[in-house]
Amino acid sequence: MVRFKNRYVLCEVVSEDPRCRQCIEDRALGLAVRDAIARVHGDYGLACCSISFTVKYLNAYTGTVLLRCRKDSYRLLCSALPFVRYLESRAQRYPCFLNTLHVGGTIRTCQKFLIQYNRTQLLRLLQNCTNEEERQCIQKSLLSCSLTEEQSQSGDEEEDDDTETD
Amino acid sequence: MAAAAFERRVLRRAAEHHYLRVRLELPDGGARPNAAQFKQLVVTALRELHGEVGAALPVDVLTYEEKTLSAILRVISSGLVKLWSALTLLGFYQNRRCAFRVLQEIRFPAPLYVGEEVTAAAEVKRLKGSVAHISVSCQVRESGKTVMEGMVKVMVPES
Repeated sequence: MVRFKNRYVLCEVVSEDPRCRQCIEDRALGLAVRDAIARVHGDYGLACCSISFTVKYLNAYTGTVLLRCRKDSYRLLCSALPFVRYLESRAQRYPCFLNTLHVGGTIRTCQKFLIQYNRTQLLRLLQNCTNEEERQCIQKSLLSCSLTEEQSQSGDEEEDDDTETD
Repeated sequence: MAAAAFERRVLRRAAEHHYLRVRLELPDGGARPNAAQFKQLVVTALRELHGEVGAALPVDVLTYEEKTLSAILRVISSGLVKLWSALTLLGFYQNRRCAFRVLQEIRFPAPLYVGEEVTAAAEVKRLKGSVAHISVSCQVRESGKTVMEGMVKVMVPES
């Protein structure tokens, strides 16, 4: 079978600045990643990775990013991700870094991993709660999380939107 | 003139280093780079095409002649393709046109010891215009191991 194979890189944007979350958008992130590839791997690397490069999914609340690239050049992309040091949008720079969580061959495997990862992250957040109030808050939001009729039909669900404990 | 297909095979795993004899051509004249500027030029070419990772490739300028602008470069085998492609695509030096010509490409697959008898062989692989591509190799007579092989480009007089 002959087809173009892609690799989907799941990353997490981590930033100390709380305003950074609002400015996470796909175009700014795409530009930042391409800029990092150009710096680290030059014109050749930029051209290789740009063939099928897009930001497939972006969640500003949790900072989850899904990038797609060709299978032949995913190593160039992954090695350039640690060199993304800031996101720029509306003439403002916010320092941040990207954590690579998973590299998968399809969006479905990445989604399965993300569901699993979010489950463990929620548990860890619960354990790290210092405040009894926060603990109650998180438990309440977890227990009240449910699928409504419209959401279950769209078929794209994961446990999300934990309360921010910054 | 025969239009045969041209195939060049470079076995990269067989040797640790590859040696390139190159010549820098500056058709517009001007000040010639000294040895340090030449190395800077090579590293700049690598940085443009292959980024910081390419610029960090261990390339050594073993000899350099400022008068003829020719040099012998040494690079590890895994970096040969990056170096050669970067040299090919370099177009400008200090806003003047320039070009790198690779005259020879040699590698040494096996060590040679004192007392061994060596046979040298050269074969013209391709002759186009006044430039001949010659493949050279040196083999030890008893064991048959190849101690040197490479490709050399020479100009031949029109005759």
